[in-house]
Amino acid sequence: MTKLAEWLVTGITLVIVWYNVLIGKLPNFGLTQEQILFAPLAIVCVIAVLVLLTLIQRVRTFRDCPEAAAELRI
Amino acid sequence: MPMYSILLPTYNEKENLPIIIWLIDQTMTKHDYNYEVIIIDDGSPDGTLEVARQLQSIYGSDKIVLRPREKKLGLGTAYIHGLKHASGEFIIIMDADLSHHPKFIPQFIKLQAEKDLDVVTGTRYVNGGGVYGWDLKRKVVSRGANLLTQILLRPGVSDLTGSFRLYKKEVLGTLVKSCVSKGYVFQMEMMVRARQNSFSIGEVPITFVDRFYGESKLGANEISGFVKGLLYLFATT
Repeated sequence: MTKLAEWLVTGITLVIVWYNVLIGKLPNFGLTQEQILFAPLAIVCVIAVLVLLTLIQRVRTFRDCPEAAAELRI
Repeated sequence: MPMYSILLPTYNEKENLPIIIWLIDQTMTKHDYNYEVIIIDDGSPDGTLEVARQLQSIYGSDKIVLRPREKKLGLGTAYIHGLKHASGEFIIIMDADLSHHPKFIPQFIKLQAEKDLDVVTGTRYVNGGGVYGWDLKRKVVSRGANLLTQILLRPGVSDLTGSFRLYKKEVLGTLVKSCVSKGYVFQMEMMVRARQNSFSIGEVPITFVDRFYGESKLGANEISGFVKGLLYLFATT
């Protein structure tokens, strides 16, 4: 399966599960209708924040190596 | 004793070429490794090929092999061209502009031998690796592109666009035939296809000294080319 196919299959599965929770065919674990409706948006926002934090951390820890440049001053 | 063929595609490197050849020779001789350097010059107007000939007379034609081409024909075909004349069981690819230091080659060789790996790739992003000469913007673009690639492709390799690598000869041959992309994306595609073929991959932290950032721009063209290539790999692998 290509990565695109994996994402589509996973995405469609999640949408089906979410829709079935919304219409009551699957258990809602005490969440209100409004909460269920906005759950996907909330999850996307949380993921976006995590990705941004990861990027910031990776840029912060991206090592500079002046010693490597000094080595080449032949 | 295995032989290591180092493929060095060159374009206008007449000043760096003697330095990198000297560094390669120093490193490989110190560790007692059998090697040859295959210089693939793409018709450099600055006389790189003439410098290569002089280096050949200094180091010997068993150590310096010349396989020039008439014009710039791209990296993938340069590797194919160089491979045809490589007598080593292992192929090392690296940049000729001193952004990659040959001192890391023994670490690639040791890791490959320890675990019988099909591919060893240098990484700038893992502990011990790093870059010199990049400002904040360049670092953000590099890490951002890499993060996007990790999310979409989950390649199992930390640095996909690097071009400092060691391959088993037959593995490089297989991969280079199946890759269609160019530039950064070509190097990414090589790793992704290596995973598809279940080749074993190891990583060595390396330092990348960019002396040309400022001259080379990471413009809209390069960025759009990268995104297109990433989407192509996302949809087809």
